[in-house]
Amino acid sequence: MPSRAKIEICNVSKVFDGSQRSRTAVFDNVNLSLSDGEFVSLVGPSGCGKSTLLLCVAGLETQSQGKIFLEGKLITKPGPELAIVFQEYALFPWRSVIRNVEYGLEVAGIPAGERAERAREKLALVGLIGFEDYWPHELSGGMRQRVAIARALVTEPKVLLLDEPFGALDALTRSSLQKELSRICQATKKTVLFVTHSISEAIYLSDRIILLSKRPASIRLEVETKLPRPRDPYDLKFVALQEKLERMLLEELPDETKAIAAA
Amino acid sequence: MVRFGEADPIILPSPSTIAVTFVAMLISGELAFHAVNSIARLAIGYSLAAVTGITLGLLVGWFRVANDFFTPLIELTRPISPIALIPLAILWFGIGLGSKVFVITMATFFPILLNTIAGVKNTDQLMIRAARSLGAGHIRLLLTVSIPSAAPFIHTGLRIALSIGFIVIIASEMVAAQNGLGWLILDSERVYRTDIVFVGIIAISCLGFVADYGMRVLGRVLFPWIHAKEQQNA
Repeated sequence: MPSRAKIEICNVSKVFDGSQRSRTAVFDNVNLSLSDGEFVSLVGPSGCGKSTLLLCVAGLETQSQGKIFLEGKLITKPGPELAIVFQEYALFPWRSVIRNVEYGLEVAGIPAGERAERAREKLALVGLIGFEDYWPHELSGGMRQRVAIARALVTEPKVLLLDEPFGALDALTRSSLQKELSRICQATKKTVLFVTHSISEAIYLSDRIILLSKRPASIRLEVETKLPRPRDPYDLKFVALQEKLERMLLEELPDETKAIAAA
Repeated sequence: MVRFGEADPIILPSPSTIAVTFVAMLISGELAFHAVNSIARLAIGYSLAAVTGITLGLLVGWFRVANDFFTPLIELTRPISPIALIPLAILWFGIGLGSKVFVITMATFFPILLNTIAGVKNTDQLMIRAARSLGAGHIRLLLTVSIPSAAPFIHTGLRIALSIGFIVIIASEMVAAQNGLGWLILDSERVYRTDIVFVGIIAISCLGFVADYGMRVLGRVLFPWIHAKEQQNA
């Protein structure tokens, strides 16, 4: 199969089989490839299946049709090569911060000393040194999401998948975490697939933006952002691109609302 | 001491009489003797129920085969009243330790089992996904995600079971025993020592309260995140 792409999504469709009558096509015939080190955002109206697509890439959901490859190898199950960060953090509440980050290394059978060292390294990357022994419930939402990012990065995954990671955060925390993520991705040169419904977030972070249509989602538009980093959300080019994409996204909305009302 | 009118001490002894009897029995060691016997029976039966209930609960909650096999059996045996089993227990195990342990185990087993099953089945799918994406397999998911996430449920089951255990131990000792707080209460009633009846009631209530308080403290220490959630919701 294709050689140079880090992630290759080929003709992937997903249908949820409820009963005979309620077959819901979530997305339809999606083709997308991510090259090494690329940051790609999936943007679309809510409920359009972008999160489901991300779960398929993570190996946590199976697509109904099509294939997804990681470095030319078919993805059949989840694993530490494909790290995922969820909107709801999904930290283990019974583990301290550092033990949450260590989890993936524990699974991999890394000895305790090295585990702690590597976990601390990732905590430093997300700016959480000094919070090793805190419980997740003692941290703010933004800090919890930093822990989740450190936990995802600790196994040195080939691809980082983020599912609306900043969706539950307030605007200020959100923008500071966007900055952090941008810096982390530049530093680690990770390939990233990022799901969001915020156009400005997508422009701020991405090399390329994929605009999805309403359900069943298909790729509506691909845009290379091509803005210099670090990006300024008040820059004219930034604003112009944001306006253009937001208008297109809005076109997807009215029918979407109807579809939900009808369902 | 304050007295509200004159009551027949056989029907209702005065608080001061009860207090004097309580202290006397405490000093003589008689109260401790009966309490220790009751607690020992309870401890053995309860521990058996905890070990078997939690083990079976984890299996049924996590493995589909175990679930399909055991669920009908559980549904069938669960409605049996443990108190109704006391005569059978005496027939099978005599009036010694065996019958009491059997009844206690039967009575405390189901709340532990059902809470364990519910706890495992209630594991947050998001946690499962997070762990799977970090490479965890099926058994590791059970050990490192489902069991800790079910632990507060299991703890609640243990707490409920313990309070049931305190009820059932008294009942079973009333039917057949030569000592223990249940025996003490019934035997004293037979000889019209109502003050001792009250001493027995107070003793078992205090023990039950202390045990439950201990369980609550244990819960707060072991599951600090649950406590934090309660505070946030309050």
